[in-house]
Amino acid sequence: MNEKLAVMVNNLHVKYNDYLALENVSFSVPHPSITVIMGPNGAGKTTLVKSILHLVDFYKGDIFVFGLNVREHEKKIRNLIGYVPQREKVTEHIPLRARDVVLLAKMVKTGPLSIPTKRDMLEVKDALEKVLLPKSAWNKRFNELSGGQKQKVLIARAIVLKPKLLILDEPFSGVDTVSQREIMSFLSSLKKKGISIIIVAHDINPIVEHVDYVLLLNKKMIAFGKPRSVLTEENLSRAYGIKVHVIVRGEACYAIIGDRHA
Amino acid sequence: MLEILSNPFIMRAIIAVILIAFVSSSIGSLTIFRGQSFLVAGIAHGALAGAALAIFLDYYGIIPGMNPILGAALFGLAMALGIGYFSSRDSREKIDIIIGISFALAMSLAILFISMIREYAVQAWGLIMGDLLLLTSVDLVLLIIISSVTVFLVTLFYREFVFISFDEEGAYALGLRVMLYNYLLLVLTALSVVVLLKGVGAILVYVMLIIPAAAANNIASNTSNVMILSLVFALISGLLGLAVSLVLNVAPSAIAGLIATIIYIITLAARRR
Ligand SMILES: Nc1ncnc2c1ncn2[C@@H]1O[C@H](COP(=O)(O)OP(=O)(O)OP(=O)(O)O)[C@@H](O)[C@H]1O
Ligand SMILES: [Mg+2]
Repeated sequence: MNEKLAVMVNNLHVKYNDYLALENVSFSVPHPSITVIMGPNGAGKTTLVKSILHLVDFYKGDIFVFGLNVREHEKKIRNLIGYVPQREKVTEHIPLRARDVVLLAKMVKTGPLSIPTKRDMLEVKDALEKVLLPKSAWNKRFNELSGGQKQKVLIARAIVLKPKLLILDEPFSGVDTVSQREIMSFLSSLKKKGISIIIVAHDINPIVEHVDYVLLLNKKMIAFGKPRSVLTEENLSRAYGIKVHVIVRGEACYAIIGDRHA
Repeated sequence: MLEILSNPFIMRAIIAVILIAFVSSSIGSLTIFRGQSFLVAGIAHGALAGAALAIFLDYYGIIPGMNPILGAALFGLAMALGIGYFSSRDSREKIDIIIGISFALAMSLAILFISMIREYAVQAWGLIMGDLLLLTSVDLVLLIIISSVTVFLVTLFYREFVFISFDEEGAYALGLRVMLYNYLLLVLTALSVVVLLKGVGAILVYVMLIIPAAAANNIASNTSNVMILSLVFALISGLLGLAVSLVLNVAPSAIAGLIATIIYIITLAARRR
């Protein structure tokens, strides 16, 4: 274990059959920190975060999570990471209530036939409170929640297991700006408690003040570093293949990109 | 009344209906959660082909004494595992096509074998139509074993199954052995379908396994309620179907299927409101 280094990726190459999805990606982020992965659709963002969890097999390169090689310590690193998948990946027709979703993760981790204890229930309640899900939504069916509420439930499901690294794949798609800021300042508070965070996002503007590192991706790594140095017109234009305008205002910078998820 | 209950065939039919209701509540609910209800129909037709082949092998003395249920189990399992294998490596759309093709293949084989065993075709017809009132003690023992194993394992790994159905990728990320659970569920589904074959027939297996759970899923507020309600719906359709069939002297599984469908339509209307 290396407590100082959340993730280190060396020379990563990923192929799906014959299709090269990621090529020579190398970067590392210290612990605790907040990193945003950006890039156009099909850039390989999901592929990269799945590689970190060793959910996809990479044929070349190495990935270390807290110093552990993810190939050799699959089980261990999955216990260290909380993963919030792209919301569309989750099935909607199962009548799970918001609190069931969180409790289910907790109990699955505990093992078969275990009965929820008072403490388990308290931890579920605590997680739902932390993500600021309104109490009125706790007993609603997951598919009846708004996009932002669903996202909060999935984040609660991840944090109830007390991860050291939280990976979120497009947590802000279909979430209004107010909820985005709400979720982001919560994630920021997690960092202060010693949890590293990796977020896949299309629009960095509403959250940029909280971000330590940005990784710009389009099959290859276009740029990696502090937001100010990565978010330049040249880098963004290279990543997205279209003209991008950047407005710098004090410490914050705003990238105006045509592309945005529906 | 007591006279009817003392008839061993009727007694066996009642026990079978109760066991089927439990299988329907456990396997049916999970199949609905997984969104794979078509799988049950596919396995049923595969099992039918296997049974027909067994009768054929027996008839021509190739494997004398080959049991149709054994043939059904082998073919049903092969079909389930095949579909499981392909669905673990291909996309959703492709799985639909794979199930569709294996469905067609199984049906063609079944018809082919049945047409080759003309004199014994009656035996195969029994598996297509099914008859709750013709169950033997051996059939019942088989049903008892498979349904209790199924209900036991589903109860044991219930949360794992539901979690995987909800979010398969998240389940992998959590370190669950997703493939293992997927194959376990496939095997249990195949075995359940096969033991139901003789009682309700290949055509109505789908109705008895899937419709009560689908109806429950329409109105239940949480997953445990789906299990409880589908048990109730399956019991109502099965027992009522049996009673009506005794009075009118028609096939019990057909009446049960009709009642289950009516329940489904009612729950659909209830949900709309
Ligand atoms: N299982 C798979 N099999 C084959 N190709 C895949 C698979 N998953 C992804 N790909 C391909 O790899 C490329 C990268 O996909 P990925 O999902 O990582 O992109 P992304 O950056 O997350 O895109 P989006 O913004 O749309 O979510 C795409 O061209 C995609 O078609
Ligand atoms: Mg993606």
